[in-house]
Amino acid sequence: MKNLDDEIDNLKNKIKNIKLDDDFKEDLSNKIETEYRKDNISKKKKTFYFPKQIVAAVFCVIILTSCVFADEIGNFVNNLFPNTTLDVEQLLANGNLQAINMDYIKQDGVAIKVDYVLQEENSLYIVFNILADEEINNVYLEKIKVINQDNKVIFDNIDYITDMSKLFYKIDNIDNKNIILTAKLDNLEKNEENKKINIYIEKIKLKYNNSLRNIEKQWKFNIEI
Amino acid sequence: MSIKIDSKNLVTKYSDMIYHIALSYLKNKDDAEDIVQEVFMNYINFIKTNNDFESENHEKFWIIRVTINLCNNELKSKRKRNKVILNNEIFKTFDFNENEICLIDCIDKLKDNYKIVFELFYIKELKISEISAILNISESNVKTRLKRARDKLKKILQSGGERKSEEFR
Repeated sequence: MKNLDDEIDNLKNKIKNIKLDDDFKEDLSNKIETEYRKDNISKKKKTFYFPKQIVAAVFCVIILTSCVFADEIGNFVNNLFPNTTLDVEQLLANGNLQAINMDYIKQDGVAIKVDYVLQEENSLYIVFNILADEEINNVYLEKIKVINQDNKVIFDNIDYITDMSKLFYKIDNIDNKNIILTAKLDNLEKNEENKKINIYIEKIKLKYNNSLRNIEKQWKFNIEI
Repeated sequence: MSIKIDSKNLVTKYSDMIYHIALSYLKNKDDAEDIVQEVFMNYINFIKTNNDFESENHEKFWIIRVTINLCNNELKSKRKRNKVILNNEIFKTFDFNENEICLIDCIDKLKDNYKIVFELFYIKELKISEISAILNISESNVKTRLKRARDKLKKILQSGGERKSEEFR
């Protein structure tokens, strides 16, 4: 008669023996290569169209008649475009791109504010401006929740209910203490209903040259879209 | 700026692990294979967007977390479409015997948040600290869930019929 631990051990070993076919693995490996190369090719194509996007961005300065300067827009476009297929002209024309005017919220030596919010049909982009007291190399959003005016969850990994694969972000260092983090939240439903969003960041991880630091504090932002 | 991907090494290192997790959720070989592919496509997106992982552990944890989430999404979507969720008979095709399938059935009956902790600890042999990082919960929470999962599993086994209780006393 076996006990539970023996049965679990036995099950574990059986599961270890389950393998994917070699053919499947080879196909998969080729597919990864192809996808990765495709990405690089499309990046090059985007670079080719970049001047047009800069023109659109500069045009936006006039349209918005706000305090958004050309170099900031340039940075923003730079930030987004290497990795996305957004049609900036269209977004600007539709008013989907929002420059947010707010003060930094500071917790434990790290100040964060939202610079821009951009809404597409199925994605929401949030551009965070992060300012640290010390030199940092990178920032990771460990716990973030975004809800709309009806308390509908747009993204939530605080309560572990949203697919982490729907969060992508890109980091750009302005200087050693200042990082621009563009978060992209994918697969939104009925995005047009988001008139106001509340963003809660409850945990971030800072990467220094040789160490990491977790900060568990709340940065809360209320943004009208 | 972009890093090189060693796709063969990547597949060798993680594909079976992803497949095991996906099989335990979806009970279907084709669906599990689809999840394996989807995880790697997400991986490329991640690399493309973030350039690289902070460490090998970060990479592994990210992959496990994404696998779990994709499986949960697939299950939700199947339920929405009223698709039949298959049972553990699939494991017969891998030469599992009735007792082993019975044990998998019982593990399946655990609540989701206990089941995943139990599987990561006992089946995938991850450390408490690793599970804590993957699930974004404290280590003491992982330990509590593990203990409760084990207790509940025993109860399920005992209440699951004479044969099971005899086997797992």
